[in-house]
Formats: sequence, C-alpha cells, structure tokens
Amino acid sequence: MHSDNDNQQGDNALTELWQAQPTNTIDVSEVKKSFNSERVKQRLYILIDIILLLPPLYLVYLAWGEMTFAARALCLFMVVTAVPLVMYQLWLRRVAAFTKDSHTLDHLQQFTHQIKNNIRISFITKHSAWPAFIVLPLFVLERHFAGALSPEKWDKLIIALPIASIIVIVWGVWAHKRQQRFEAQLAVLQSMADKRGH
Amino acid sequence: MGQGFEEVFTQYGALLSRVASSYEANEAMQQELLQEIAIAVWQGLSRFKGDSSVKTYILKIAHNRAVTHVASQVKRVDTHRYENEELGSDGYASSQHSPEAASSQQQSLARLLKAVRALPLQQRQVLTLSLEGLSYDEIADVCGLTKNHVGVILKRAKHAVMQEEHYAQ
Repeated sequence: MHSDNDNQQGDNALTELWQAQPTNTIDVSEVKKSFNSERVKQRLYILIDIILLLPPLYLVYLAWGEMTFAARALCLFMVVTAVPLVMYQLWLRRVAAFTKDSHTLDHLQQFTHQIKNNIRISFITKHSAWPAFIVLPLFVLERHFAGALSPEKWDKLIIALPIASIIVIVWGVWAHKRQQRFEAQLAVLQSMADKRGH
Repeated sequence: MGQGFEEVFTQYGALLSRVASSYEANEAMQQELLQEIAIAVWQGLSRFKGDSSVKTYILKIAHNRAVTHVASQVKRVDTHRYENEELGSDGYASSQHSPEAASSQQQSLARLLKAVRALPLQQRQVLTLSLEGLSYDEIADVCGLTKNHVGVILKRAKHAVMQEEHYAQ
C-alpha cells in the first residue's frame, strides 16, 4: 500500500514536471501561409509529374506508324517502365499531401514501408540509368540500319548523344543520392523505434 | 467539425508544443516542428468526424507528423551535431539557461526531457500521452495498442525515466 502511494506520488510529480515545461506558441498567420503554399506546391508537383510523361507518350503515338519492330519494342519497354513509376510517384505525393490520422503504430509501419519502397524505386531508377547508355546507341543503330539516318541527322546526333549521356549520368547520380537519403531516413526511423541507452 | 482550428490551437497549443519537445531538443527545430504539426492538425480537423475526442484526434496527428519530421531531418546533415554540441543537456539554448541560473526544477525538467527523448518511440509516445492525462483507453486508441499492452509499455517507460532521474541524482 505504501509502495502504491509512493508510485502515485512519483507519477503525479512526473506529470506536474512535464506540464511545467516552457512551451512555444503557434504562429497562426504562418500556419495559414504555409498551408496554402503547401497545397499549391503539391498540386504543382502532381501537374509536373503528369506533364513530363505526356510529351514522350505523344511522340511515340505520332511516330508509331513509321517505327520498325525493334524501335517499337524499345519504346514499349520505356513506356512500360516509366508509366508505373509515375503512377507510384503520384500515389506517394497524394499520400504525402494528406494528414495521417491513423494509429501511431500504423503510421510508423506505413511510413517505414513507404521509405523501403522509395529505396527500391531509387535503386531501380539508378540501375535504369546505365541501360539507357546501351539503349540510346542501340536506338541509333536501329535507325541507321533501317536507313532512317541521313548525314544531316548524324550531325545532329553527334551533338544530341553526348547531351543525352550527360542527362543519363545526372539522372543516375540523382537517383543514387535519393537512395542514400531514404536509407538514412530508414536508419533514423529504426533507431528512433529501438533506441534506449540502458 | 465542432471546433475551428484557431480555437483548437488556443486550447491545445501548449500540448502540441510539448509533443514537439518530446521529439526535438533544439528550440528552433521544436518551433519548426510545432508549425508543421499545426498545419497537419488544420488539415486533419476538416476530416474529423467526432469518433473520438478532439484531444486524442490531434495527438494522433501530432505524433505521426513528428515521426515523419524527425526522419525527414536527415537532409540536414548537421542537425544532430548542432543539437548535441551547441545546446545544453536540457535541449534549450545554453545562452538562455545557463547552468548557474537554472533552478532545480529546470534541471529536473531537462533530465526528464532528455530521458523521454531517449526512449524507444512507442514508450515515448505512451508515456507522454499519459503525462498529458490520457486514460489507458485513449492511449490505446491513439497508438493502436491493447489496453493491457499500454499498461506494460507505460510501466517500462516510467521505470526507464525514473532510473535516469535516479542516476542523475
């Protein structure tokens, strides 16, 4: 009984101490501003994701009739890879845009799962960069053997190919950095879930 | 929705600030997290159906937002270094609360906050919810646990915090 009283007193003292801590004030005008700008930003990102996908799809649609079987196969491969990635990206943005009122345990599990998926996607994106090095020359060769490349087009390709290669390198490095960032996030989450000094 | 967000912020602003302080030691980061929590709460209130109390509903949102915030801070490479090197053990700027000026209560509070932040996530959430006066049922609702599990986790968390306090004295 004595011990129960001690525990109760200890709990009360702990609660009092906790409630006595200095607190910050919410800046309501800043919250309103951030809320609106965040909403605009999220919508803009979604729009950009969709817009970036549309021109290549449209070009494939326009040129489809003139393409050889090999060119169609390459384009299909690229579309099949890109569309699900963009869809997933849109889904992630939608998830990020909405507030989570799920249980904290659910949130932790969902968030961890999402970060693991992001690591996988970054890994896939990174490793889709180097095949692009193969796909680009293959595409050019296919056009060449199909007799579609005039000397003027070759002149343009000599400029376009290095630019495309640089874009692919930047893409790969960007994906690698994203992968590292998500891995670090996962490490922070796991450490937060497990940590204890003694 | 029963309450407007400004009314909710007035009533629960301090509570939300304490949630922020249980995740971030640095005062600037606490303020930033508090603003993020407030935005999330504002968003969340529009979907509040009254299945639980406003207090437990916003606490769910606040803790979830805080977890996301802490993980996203890896972008700021120097966050933890800054936190550890430039601040006192109480997590408040040393210039504002010098060790000489700090009262016994402030020191106890500093130890408590340090101990709370060192707890594993679930223990930290359960303990701070309990310190905010939530019942076992309400904590179970916020955390997605059973009432018995809440009791076990709370006991462990209190033991760990008390032990920290004991070692410090």
